[in-house]
Amino acid sequence: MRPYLLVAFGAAFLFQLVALPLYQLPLESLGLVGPDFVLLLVIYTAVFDRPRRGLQAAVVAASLSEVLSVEPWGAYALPYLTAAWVCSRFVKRGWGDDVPARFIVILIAVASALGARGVLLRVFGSSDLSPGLDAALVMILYNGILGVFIFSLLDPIRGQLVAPPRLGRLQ
Amino acid sequence: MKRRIPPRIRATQILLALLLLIPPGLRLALTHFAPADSEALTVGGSEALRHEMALLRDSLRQANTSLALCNMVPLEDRYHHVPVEILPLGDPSPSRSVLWGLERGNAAIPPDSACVYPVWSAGRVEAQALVGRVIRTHPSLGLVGVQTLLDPGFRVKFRYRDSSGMLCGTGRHSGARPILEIRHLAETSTLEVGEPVFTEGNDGVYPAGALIGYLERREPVDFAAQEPKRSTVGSRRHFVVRAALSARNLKALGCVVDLSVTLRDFISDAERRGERR
Repeated sequence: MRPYLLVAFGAAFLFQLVALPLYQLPLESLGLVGPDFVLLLVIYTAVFDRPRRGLQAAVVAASLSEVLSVEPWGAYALPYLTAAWVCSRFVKRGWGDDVPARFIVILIAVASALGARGVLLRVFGSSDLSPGLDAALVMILYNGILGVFIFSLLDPIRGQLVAPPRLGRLQ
Repeated sequence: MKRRIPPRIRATQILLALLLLIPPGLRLALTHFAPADSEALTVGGSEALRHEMALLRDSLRQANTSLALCNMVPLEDRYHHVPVEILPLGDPSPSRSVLWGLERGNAAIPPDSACVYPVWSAGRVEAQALVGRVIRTHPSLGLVGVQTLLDPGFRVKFRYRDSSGMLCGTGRHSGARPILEIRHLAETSTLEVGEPVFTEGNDGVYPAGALIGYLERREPVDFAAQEPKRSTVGSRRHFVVRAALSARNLKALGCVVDLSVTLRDFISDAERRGERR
């Protein structure tokens, strides 16, 4: 991983651990709805970097999250890897270049991550921990909107964050 | 050669960064200047509240929050309070509610210890309100992870009059205070709005008599009511419990450590050490 990307992941973790309550939506009936800055950065890496690097970033981010969180083991690894795999497998080059396409990509990736998490929690009998359908939909939309902002913020330093795609893949 | 960012892009960057940072900044400023939990202290009108808050602030300034928590009378003889400072850290998961605390002494806080906070009335502690449960500890660092009542994984056995049941965290809140769902309560019990609900104890985790919250009528529009029918038809379906405290702005709390458990662990450790020798 590139040093700038490590710094970006550090910042994402800092936001997630310290500032998360400030970004949580004050929707009383829906429950806890907030962004996942680390997941958004994993998606960014998977969309703009090579597939192998996207999966690497997902593994590193998930490992650290597993250590820091009280969630059951695997509650980060599976969603992050799923999101990275979905982005690298199905998102074609150029999809991350304009805002509507970015928004759709983030929606798909976050939805797949939440779906994977829900399946995992159901398998381990902790389905109470996964958000309801309404809360999940709001969470996906919120992450989508926030993701577009964050992607635009990272755009000028994209060259330092991710490796340019190999020409062979574009042909 | 160093690449220069064009001024137009730089301005956009600054604008985007401001858009990202202003909402939490405003919220942080508002919560910083707001009282910790104004509703929890409402006993006897606004004047009394102001007086109580002044008393509370003074006592906290003079004796430190830790000391105030130390001086709380234990709920039962076999428990004692260990004060814990709340750190500005949470859980990376957006759907969990966990606080991290720092224990500055060398007191051992075992996992599953209950965490309480004093509810003041007329200058004295009226009740000890349940804030959460210790779910993770790092004794070498003095760090304690507390699962709050807001967390969807939170469970506590409660007592209401003669009947007992289970309360479950929902992740939902009303006026910043967590909402807990009632499960496994006897159908015969009659529930009344505003009545306090306390921990039952005898479950090996929570001491008996800690205030959890107050009964409240479930809102008409409630998504949880449409969830799979885990509970049978009964009055409890129309009620929820609104927690007595919000853990959001707390600066410290007291961990209720069961001395019998600590003593048992100490004896087993000593035995193990003796066997090794």
